[in-house]
Formats: sequence, structure tokens, C-alpha cells
Amino acid sequence: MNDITILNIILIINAFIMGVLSVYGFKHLVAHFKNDTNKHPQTHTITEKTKIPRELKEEMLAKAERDFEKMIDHSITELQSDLEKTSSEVSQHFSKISSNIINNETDQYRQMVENLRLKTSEIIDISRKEIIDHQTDLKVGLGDNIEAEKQLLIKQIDTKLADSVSSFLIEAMQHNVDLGSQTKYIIEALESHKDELKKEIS
Amino acid sequence: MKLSLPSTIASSQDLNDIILDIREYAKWYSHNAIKKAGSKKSENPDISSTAKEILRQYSDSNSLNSSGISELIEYLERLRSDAPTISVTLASVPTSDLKKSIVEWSRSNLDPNVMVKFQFNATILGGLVVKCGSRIFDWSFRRKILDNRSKYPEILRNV
Repeated sequence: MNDITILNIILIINAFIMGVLSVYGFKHLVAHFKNDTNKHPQTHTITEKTKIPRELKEEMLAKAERDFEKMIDHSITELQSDLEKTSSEVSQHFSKISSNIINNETDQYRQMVENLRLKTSEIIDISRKEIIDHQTDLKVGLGDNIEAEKQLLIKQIDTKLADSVSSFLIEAMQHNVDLGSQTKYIIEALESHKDELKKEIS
Repeated sequence: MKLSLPSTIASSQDLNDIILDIREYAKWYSHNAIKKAGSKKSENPDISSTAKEILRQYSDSNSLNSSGISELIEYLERLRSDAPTISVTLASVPTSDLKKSIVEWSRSNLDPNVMVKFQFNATILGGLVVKCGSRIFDWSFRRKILDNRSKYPEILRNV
């Protein structure tokens, strides 16, 4: 049972009490006036029988009026006291409920802010890690690319160099062919491939 | 018939020249046989020493008459068309000694009747390129230089 339900129950009880008291006061008032009208014949009767003196009669009426007023004042005072008490309790209860609600809301808000902070912190950590990984990848990739480019350039230079040397040798040797000194090399070349040549001849 | 081809007959062209010389000799022999009964013999025809060597070899084992000479010519013609041939390309015009060395080596190691066709190409720089059957064997200096060109940068780096 929550606080609002309790408050409702208290308000209903108070309303009920006020209703009962109002009915009681009203009935008392009605009864008094009835007695007043009914008492006349009696009074009359009594007056007729007993002959109540006029002064006593007036005194009694004044006294009854005073008692009635006193009782009404007393009821009003009690009712006012009850209302003040109820109002005070309701206020207290309201403030208690309000503070509970505010506390709950504040706690929830704090928890939500804390969750958001944790999530944000987690996202920032992940992002930082991804950035570091990406930087590492970039460094490695860049290093590899530079190395590959370097090797390619070296290869190109080597190829150009080899072509230049080959061209130079070919150009230089072309004009000074001396077959006489090559006889031994030629016969050795034939000798070393004798079997292949024989196979082709046959 | 078994003839040992002299090393001076290297190619089919050389053999063709010899056949022409022997034909000339056959013609002279025929005329000389007709004139045999007559007054005097005409002088020997002007044929190459290689042709004379072939005729001498033939006459060692056969009688050198008109039919014998015709048989020799037929044999040589058959040899010209049927003998295996290799083509040797050198960096310049080969000397007779080099030609002789290559032909003798070929006849003693490959086939006794092999014909060697010589060509020259200065761009091969040295060594030789042999075309034999369907294959070409490139043992030229140019090929060696090109095959080893990847080593030049390494050699230059170590200088």
C-alpha cells in the first residue's frame, strides 16, 4: 500500500467524521427547536398547572440558549482542532511523500547520470583504444609501404644498372671478337653438351 | 661404299662443289676413254684437292671407271640430301683451323657424315650458337651476359 492510498484513506475517514459531527450538530439543533415548540404546550400545560413564574422561565430559556451556544462553540472548537490536526498530518504526509518522491527521483536521476557517465567513459575508452590501434595499423602499414617502395626502387635501379652494364659490355665486346682464342671454349661447350647434340642428330 | 669425308667438306654447299668437280672429272674421263685409241691424252682436269682426295679414297677400294665414278656421284648426292646437318653461328667469319676443329669434332663425336653449316653474327659477341634438329643451343657470350645481369649490381656494390 503506497503513501497516496494511505492519504486517501485518512481523508475519507476525516470526511466521514466531519459528516457524522455535522449530522450530530444538525440533529441536536433540530431537536432543540422541536423541544422548544413542543415545550410550549407543556410549558403552557405546566404553566397552566404549575404556574412557572415568568422570570424563571426566562432564566431557563437564557440558560438553555447559553448551554446550546456553549456546546456549539465546543463542537466548533473540536472540529477546528480536528481540522487543524488533519491538515497538519496531511501536510506532514504530503511533505514526507514529496520528499520521498524527490529522493527517489533524485536517486534515479543520480543513477541514470552515473550510468551515462560509465557508458560515456566506456565509449571513450573504446574510442581511445580504437584510435591507438588505428594509429598502430597506420604506422605498420606506412612502414610496410615505405619498405615496399624502397625495395621497388632498388629493384628498378638494379634493373637499369644491369641493363646499362650489359649494354656497355655488348657494345664494347662487339668490335673486338677474336675467335682464335675462343676455339678451346667452343670445343669445350660442344663437348659438354655432346649427349644432347647426339640425341638431336639421331 | 665407305668414304671418310675430309674436314674441308663442312657443309652441303662444299659437298655440292665436290660433286661438280667429280662430274667434271667424269666428263674428262669419258672424253679421254674415247680418245684412248687416238694420238695423245688430254691433260687432267682442274679439280680441287678435296675432290682428288675423294677420288683417291674411292679408287683404293673400287675400280675408277665410268660406272664407278657415276656410282660415287650418286653416293655423294645421296649424302648431300640425307646427311644430318647442324648450323653453327659464330661471332665472326671462322678461320679454317676453327672450321676444321669443329667439323672434325662433330664427325668423330656426333655422326661421321654430319654437315656443318657455318654462319656469323657479330652481336653474339663470342662463343657459338648451335642449331641442331629442332633445338637451338645458345652458348654465346651475349646470352651469358644477359643471363647473369642480375649479378652486376651485387658485384658493383661489393667493389
